[in-house]
Amino acid sequence: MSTTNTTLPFTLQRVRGLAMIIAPLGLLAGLGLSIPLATELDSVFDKFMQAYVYGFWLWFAIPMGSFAFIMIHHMTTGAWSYVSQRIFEAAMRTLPLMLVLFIPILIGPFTGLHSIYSGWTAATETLPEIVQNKLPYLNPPFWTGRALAYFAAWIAISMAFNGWSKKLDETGDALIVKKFRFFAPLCLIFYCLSMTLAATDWIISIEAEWWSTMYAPLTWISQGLTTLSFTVIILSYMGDDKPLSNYLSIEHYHHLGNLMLGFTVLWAYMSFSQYLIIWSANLPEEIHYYLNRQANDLNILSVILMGFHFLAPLLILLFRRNKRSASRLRTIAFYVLGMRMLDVFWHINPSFHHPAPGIYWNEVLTHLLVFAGIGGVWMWFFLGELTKRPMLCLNDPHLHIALGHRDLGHHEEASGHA
Amino acid sequence: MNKMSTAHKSYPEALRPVGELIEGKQTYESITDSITSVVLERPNPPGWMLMFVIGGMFTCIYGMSLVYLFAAGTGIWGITMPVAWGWAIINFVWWIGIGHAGTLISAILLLLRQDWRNAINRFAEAMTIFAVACAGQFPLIHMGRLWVGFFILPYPNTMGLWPQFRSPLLWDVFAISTYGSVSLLFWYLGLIPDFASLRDRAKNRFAQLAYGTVALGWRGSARHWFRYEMASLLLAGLCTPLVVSVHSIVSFDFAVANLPGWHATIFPPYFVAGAIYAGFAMVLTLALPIRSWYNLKHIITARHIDLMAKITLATSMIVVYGYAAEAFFAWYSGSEMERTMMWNRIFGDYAPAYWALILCNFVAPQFLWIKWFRTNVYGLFLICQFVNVGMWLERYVIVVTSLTKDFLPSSWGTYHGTFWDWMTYLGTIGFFCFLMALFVRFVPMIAIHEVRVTHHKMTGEHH
Amino acid sequence: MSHYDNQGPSVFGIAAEYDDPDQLLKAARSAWDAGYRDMDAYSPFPVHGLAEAIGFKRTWVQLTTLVAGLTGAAVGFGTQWYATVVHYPYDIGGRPLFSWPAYIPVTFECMVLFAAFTTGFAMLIMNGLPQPYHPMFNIDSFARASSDRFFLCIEATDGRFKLDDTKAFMEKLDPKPIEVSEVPA
Repeated sequence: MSTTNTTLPFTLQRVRGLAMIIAPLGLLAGLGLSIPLATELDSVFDKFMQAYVYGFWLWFAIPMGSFAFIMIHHMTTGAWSYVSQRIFEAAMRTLPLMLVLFIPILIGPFTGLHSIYSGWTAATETLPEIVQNKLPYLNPPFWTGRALAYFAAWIAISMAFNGWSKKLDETGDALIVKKFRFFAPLCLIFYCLSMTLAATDWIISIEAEWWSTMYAPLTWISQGLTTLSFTVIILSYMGDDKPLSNYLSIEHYHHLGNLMLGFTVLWAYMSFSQYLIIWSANLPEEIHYYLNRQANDLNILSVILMGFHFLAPLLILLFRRNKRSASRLRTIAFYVLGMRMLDVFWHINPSFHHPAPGIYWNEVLTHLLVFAGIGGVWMWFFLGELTKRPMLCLNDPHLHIALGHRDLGHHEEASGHA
Repeated sequence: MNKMSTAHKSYPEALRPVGELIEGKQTYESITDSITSVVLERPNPPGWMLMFVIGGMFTCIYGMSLVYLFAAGTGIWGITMPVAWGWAIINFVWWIGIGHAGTLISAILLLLRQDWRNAINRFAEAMTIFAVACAGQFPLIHMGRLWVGFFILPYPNTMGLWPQFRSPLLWDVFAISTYGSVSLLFWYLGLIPDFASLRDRAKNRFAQLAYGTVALGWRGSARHWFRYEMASLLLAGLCTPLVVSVHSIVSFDFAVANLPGWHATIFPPYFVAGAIYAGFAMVLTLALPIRSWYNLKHIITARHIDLMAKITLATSMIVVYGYAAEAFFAWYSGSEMERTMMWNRIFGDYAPAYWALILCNFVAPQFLWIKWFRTNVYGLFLICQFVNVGMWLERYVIVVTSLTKDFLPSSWGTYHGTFWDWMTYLGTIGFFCFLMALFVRFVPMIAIHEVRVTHHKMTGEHH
Repeated sequence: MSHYDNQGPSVFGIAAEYDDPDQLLKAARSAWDAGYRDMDAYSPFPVHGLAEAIGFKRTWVQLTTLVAGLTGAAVGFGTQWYATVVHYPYDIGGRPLFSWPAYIPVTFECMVLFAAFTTGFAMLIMNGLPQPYHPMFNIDSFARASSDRFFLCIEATDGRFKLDDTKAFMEKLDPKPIEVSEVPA
């Protein structure tokens, strides 16, 4: 079977065109608007980079969530993941771009160009003892080396899986599936371990004194939720064309919707457990993390997250008919992505220098601009990658078994919905 | 599932899963027969007799331990200061964890549309209930004065006192009692149609009456099935977060304290995974011999065994992640207390327990990557025994290492279980086996109507 | 009912027996298309589409679950709030009297407890169980309805029910039943 390319539907072509314009505009405007934000503690570039870390971490969730889902796909071979496989793979192929986008963050600890990590890059004697104890791990050479190592491994794995997938398309050699099955669990384990360290290095270490063993699992789940929502959106635009349209059914949206529900609940479960444990123990080296985030108008944001990142999607996604319509589920997915933006803001921004804890609206503006800028670059690249392969791996021997169940629709439908 | 091997001839042999969900040429009747005959024809295989007799003996030993405990007080155990939470809490967490696989199989796998659960869910649910019955006794007997056990409930009293709602020990009371009673309800509702099968097939009058009573007059009406399936689905939807909440709350017993080694935010999911891990090992421990005693290998097939082994492996990886995260973040934290605790755990007085735990929960399950160990019943049984021991050791390490060496060296101490700790613990294992033996004897151990559904899906017209 | 004149009160209905669920499903659809409404189908396991085929499409079990769950959560949370804030306010480790994070676990457990038991009992009550006696048990072969036999029963209360006509209709059903029998009331 020959490998054919995919053409983007009109809407996504427009998005790709727009992305090229938004990218430079967002980044430049973000930088420009950072100028009045500079303080004694933070330079203009520091302020810009605070927004940049935010934008990077949000977009980074999609390739890495896809990384994890592609492994889960090869282990479970579910119908929902067959229709999403090529979206995941295209997102994984953006990892080299992610490395390029990471460079501004990467150079910070070594060169001192930005002070995002000043919690541990400042002069040793000024640091609290507990942070000094961390310096064997948190020091610029080791930190930089680790970051490069994660990226090298992620990109290598991504290239291997994409290569095999392409080969399966071209040759139809079903035994390639054996390779997927062998390496997928190992790579999933690697994802979990490397994301634990990456989340520690890049996000937890901003708040240098603080640590939490739950943070990494929470990161996996957040990336998963972001990726699922993003996949629903792309799928709903791509689903009208062949070959996807021959196979894609409302069952797949239903299943993706159920997964979004599951991940929403897991997000709440992990966030709340972490909060309850730290709240109850009330230890000085930990509690400041939440005290910061409960102070002033950040408290309102915390309540909004409980209500609108958890309760509202929970109630919406419990209803069957909201999951059994591509357009409705797409709307919900956009909404969930909006909530993800708030959640990441809540996690990252209060860790930076502020006169008092709170929401600083001019910072919110730069965050949004830089988020849009990075998103522009990423979307342009991602949509380009998406067109390079057919939307289904038609030579996968399991595909027809997984997707050929439409005639039994009523059976599956009645036996399981949440 | 059958489709895989018949409809798609092009599907490569190397990629096919192990075995089928139902082996051999079966009919609805042969399925009903092979399960109901275990109960109605009373074959009493030697293995069952052994389980019943030894279980019964240890139940008696348990009874004696309890009498002595209530007469003499908790001093007969090894508990001391600073380890006031000894084996009682270790056994409690061990048992409650074992119970969780039952709910996972019956509820979570139902929501995930995993048809293979149909052959093992009844069995696993029974295990849940008996494990919770064993678990629930420890917090009560741990008081030493059982007769004031009702103090833990919020009831109106002359002192105007309430239990401490901010304490996870009270959350436990709510979690365990809800979990126990909801599991029992779910189990019983699942049994109703099967009791009807027994009622209709029983030959002696007493069995007809007994099963007829508990079957509630079930007649398999389409309207009834419709509501029944809706209720099952809703209960599964409720049990899924319930089972997660129960072990999370158990983990809060430790995690909300500020003791190093206990206070770790990862505890809730890590405990839940450990519970499922321990539970699957126990399901396998029981299912492997029992399916052989009663010739049920065509219903609990190599496919089921393989899948359960894979889940055991997957959950073991999560548990091991928990160990790794605890160790790494203890070091990363830079906190002297955390680092000392972890050093003590790995190299201190109780290091043998820690390394034995690593052997049981990390090294032993790695063999499950190899297909031979997932399909060879003896190999798998052996690995499951490592898991059963390992999960007990995990709780032992958490409880004892953290308590014996906390913040102040002046309050450090040592702790060891006594003869009566052993007898109480082994007694509950006996009690559990005794109940399982009774269950196998009097109740259909496989959900017959659900296996019929699997059979229908494999052979029905639309395939 | 006027139709009782035709067949007397001694008949509950006419039952057709099958040994295959898909045949039962077809038979039920035919009976519905022929205009029969008061009927029920019996099977040893849930057959999808069967309830819909005999015109039963909605159940209110979910609603009771929702109401009970919300009630349980309110009771759980309310009790804790009343105990710690109103009835016996007491400073524990400097925590606020209204410690909502600590109330969540018990609230959740109460919600599940109420919802689960209500669901289970609502299902039984709506199904009219326990019901020790039912006319269907009068047919001898109905003992196999809990193993490998599938029954369709058109009940005497149906407006179109006429003993002989209905029996003839059922005997001619496609697929053909193994046996058609009168069900004594």
